[in-house]
Amino acid sequence: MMKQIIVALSVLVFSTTTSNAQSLLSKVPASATMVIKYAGENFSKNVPVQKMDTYKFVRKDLLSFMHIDTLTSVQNMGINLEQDSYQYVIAVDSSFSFVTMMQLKNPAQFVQLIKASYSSKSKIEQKNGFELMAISENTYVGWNASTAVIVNTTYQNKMSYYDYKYRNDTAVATTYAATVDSAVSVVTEATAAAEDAVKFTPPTIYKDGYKTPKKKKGVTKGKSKGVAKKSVKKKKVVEEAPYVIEEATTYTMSGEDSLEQRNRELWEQQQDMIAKQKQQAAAENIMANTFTGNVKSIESEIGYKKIIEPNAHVSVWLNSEDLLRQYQNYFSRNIYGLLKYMKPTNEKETVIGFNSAINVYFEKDKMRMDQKTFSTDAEMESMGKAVMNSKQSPSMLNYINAGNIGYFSASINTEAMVNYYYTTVKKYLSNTPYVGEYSDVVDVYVDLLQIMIDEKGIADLTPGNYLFVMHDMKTKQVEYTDYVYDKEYNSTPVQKKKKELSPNFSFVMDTRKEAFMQKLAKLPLKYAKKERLNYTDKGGYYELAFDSTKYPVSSLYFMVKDGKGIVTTNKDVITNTIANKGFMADEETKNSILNNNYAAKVDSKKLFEILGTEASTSTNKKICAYMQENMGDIKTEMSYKDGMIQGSTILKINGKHTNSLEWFFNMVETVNNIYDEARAEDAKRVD
Amino acid sequence: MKKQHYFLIFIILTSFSSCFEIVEQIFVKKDGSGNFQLTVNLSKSKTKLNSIMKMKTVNGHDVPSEQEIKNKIAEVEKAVAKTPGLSAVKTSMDFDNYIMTLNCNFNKVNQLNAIAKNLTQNEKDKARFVEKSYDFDAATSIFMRLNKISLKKDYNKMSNADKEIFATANYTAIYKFENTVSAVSNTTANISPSKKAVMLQQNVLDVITEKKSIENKITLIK
Repeated sequence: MMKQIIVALSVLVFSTTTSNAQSLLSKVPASATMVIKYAGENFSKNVPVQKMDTYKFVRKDLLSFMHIDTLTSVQNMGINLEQDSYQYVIAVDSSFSFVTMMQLKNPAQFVQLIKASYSSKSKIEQKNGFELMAISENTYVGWNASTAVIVNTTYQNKMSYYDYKYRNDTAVATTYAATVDSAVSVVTEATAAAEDAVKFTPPTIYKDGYKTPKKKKGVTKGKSKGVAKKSVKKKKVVEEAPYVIEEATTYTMSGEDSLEQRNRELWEQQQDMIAKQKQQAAAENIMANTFTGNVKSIESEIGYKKIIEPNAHVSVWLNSEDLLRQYQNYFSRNIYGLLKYMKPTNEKETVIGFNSAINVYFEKDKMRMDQKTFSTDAEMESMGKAVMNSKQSPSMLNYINAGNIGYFSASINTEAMVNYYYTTVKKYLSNTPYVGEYSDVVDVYVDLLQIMIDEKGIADLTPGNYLFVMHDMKTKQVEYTDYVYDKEYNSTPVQKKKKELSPNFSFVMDTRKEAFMQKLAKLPLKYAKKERLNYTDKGGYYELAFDSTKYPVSSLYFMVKDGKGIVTTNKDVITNTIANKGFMADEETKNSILNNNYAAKVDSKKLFEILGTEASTSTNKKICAYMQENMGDIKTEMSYKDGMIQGSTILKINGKHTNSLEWFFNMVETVNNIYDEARAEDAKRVD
Repeated sequence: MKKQHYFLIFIILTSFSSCFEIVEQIFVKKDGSGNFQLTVNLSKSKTKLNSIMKMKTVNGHDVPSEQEIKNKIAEVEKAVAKTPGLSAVKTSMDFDNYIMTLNCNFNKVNQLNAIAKNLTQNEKDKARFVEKSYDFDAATSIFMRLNKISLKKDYNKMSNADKEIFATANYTAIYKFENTVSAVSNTTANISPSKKAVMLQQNVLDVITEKKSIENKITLIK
């Protein structure tokens, strides 16, 4: 799993399509829902292309993953990795496409690479201004003298057979009326059907025999043949059925079933063919626009310009609203019939959603990721601002001890958040299949819900200030039973002790409904005995005690005091709170928490040191040791600034690395080597 | 009851248990009858198991409840009790320490071979369990512990997370006799000073991957 994540991350960093930076951005359509930019600087300066060739994983895993000859040097792929490149996602013509644009430095080398990797399966087609090769049913490569474009596309409007069947009652009735003798023949009109999914020709029924489908040029005859053969076999089963009456419990396919199955298989074949044609058309359309057409580029869009930093080494731009809608569509299309009732995926909402961007910088001693989120729509923007209109309570700092492993602080305006949900739910439901048709009704229902729900009450119960602190991971002694043997090998059970990690954490939340929270904390007292819980009132707080020999945590304390609900394993936290005292958070932590809506920090060195002690295999121990030495602290902050939600995540690096991009490559290489060693060791064992 | 079910329960109970031990103890009388005891000791991982028992799934496997485990163990007891020649079959499960035991008496050592077979209904698996694991020839006074059931393929099919549970697990075999032991074939086995007992300890992973063997031919003095 770890490996897959690493490869995926590497692909993300590595799949730098090269191209003239400005010209390629100008080819990214304004309707794209996600845009990724990889700066050429990554490979001209941070990790030079020559250096990349020295990483084993680049060839062994990455090129292999991309089905590219692993002997090819990264330098000889014909791709200019030292220029900016782009990837984007777009939903157009009912197809969902992931497009990669790269600049070429040696087109001949690139063509050679493509031919060597894929040409045995596919032909190169000459198009107007570019060459095109299909490397699979949904992946197409196009190139000219300076640029290469890879389009991975999926047609989303495949029609459901059952939807067709149950909405064409006449046709269905005819079909079933003719299935009396169950002998059928199928006439595939696949080519015609490929023109329009709805024009499906149901199988023609013959009374006394099964005929193979008519063959048409250019139609996937192999598949049709396969279906016919299969069906004939099934018919034999039907004929033999009367001789096995006693085994009547065994299900035997009837003529109707057989025909039904054949109809469905043919329908699906047709849909696959249509999808293939639509996918190729979508890919060609994208390529034609890229190579020869005029594209209304995203580069001049305010939603893009405002949050994308031109100097970022990698930037990711998202139209969250569109992405969410496409995500819904993607899953809905597999549910028969639903897509038909949905809005086209590229249709814009009347209310514009949020645009988000992550700008990544591979600096010398750290990796910095700046996030920005905003909406060009005034209503949404004001909602975002209202949600972030909250300040963390200074008293929360009392719960952050020096030397903690990590913390997460959140401060949001609960009331504004609840109000934001109403809008989101309305938008979500009006985009949901079937429900969308009744958006006015949904609107009324959500309004009614809004009247019934007391947002202020919810906000009083939990105003939106939360803090989680992992104070420490202490070791505790636990007992276990082992056997000792005397000299005659008679066994005796003995109690032994060993050390185990025990998490020491606190969760604190603000509340203005202290009386209610007190009631809640007291509630288990009455039922503790019945439920066999050791939950006791300790005078000012409650303790849920666990058998220390059985659980990693000995006690969980619950306390409500001074407008705070506290759940902790740390007795000091309780003692301090009773005495109106607290820990002393350092100045940096104080500023980070009090000046931001979200703040988090993880002491990676400490975390990996602790995890290393728990790792049961030498592989995990080695990985933990490497990470402990090379990974620095992680810190995140997020707040509302300059009319948008802005945040920054910093991952510090340690060890001997020129910069954080090289650190990333070195880390992937090292982790891969550790896994390779483990595999070799494992193979030795098994052999 | 399929063998896989027992195996799954075993996997679940041992998941995240970095340490567990299987102890097999057999006492053989001169006439070939005796007592068999199998112990699976997960006590060293009991805090993790207590946490796992509160979860629904682990490593993609459903976590059984205490009652489900008790039921399965009761089924094991029933199945073993049906084996001809075996008597006083008793199982126990200590949920405080996670120690499971199976204890029974036998008239002949060979009768133990039917236990594994009786625990499976799957024909394919039954075929695997026709092989002898235990043998005692009173005429020659030779006790044999065999291991013809290969788990290597099953192990290779496991996920890495499941494989990890065997890395530090141990297997202990203790064989005791009324007669005196004159020789053992397994060089890692030890004979007690009285020469009436033999002990063999191996790493479970080494046994599964067939790097080390638990097979032993123990020759007794008549």
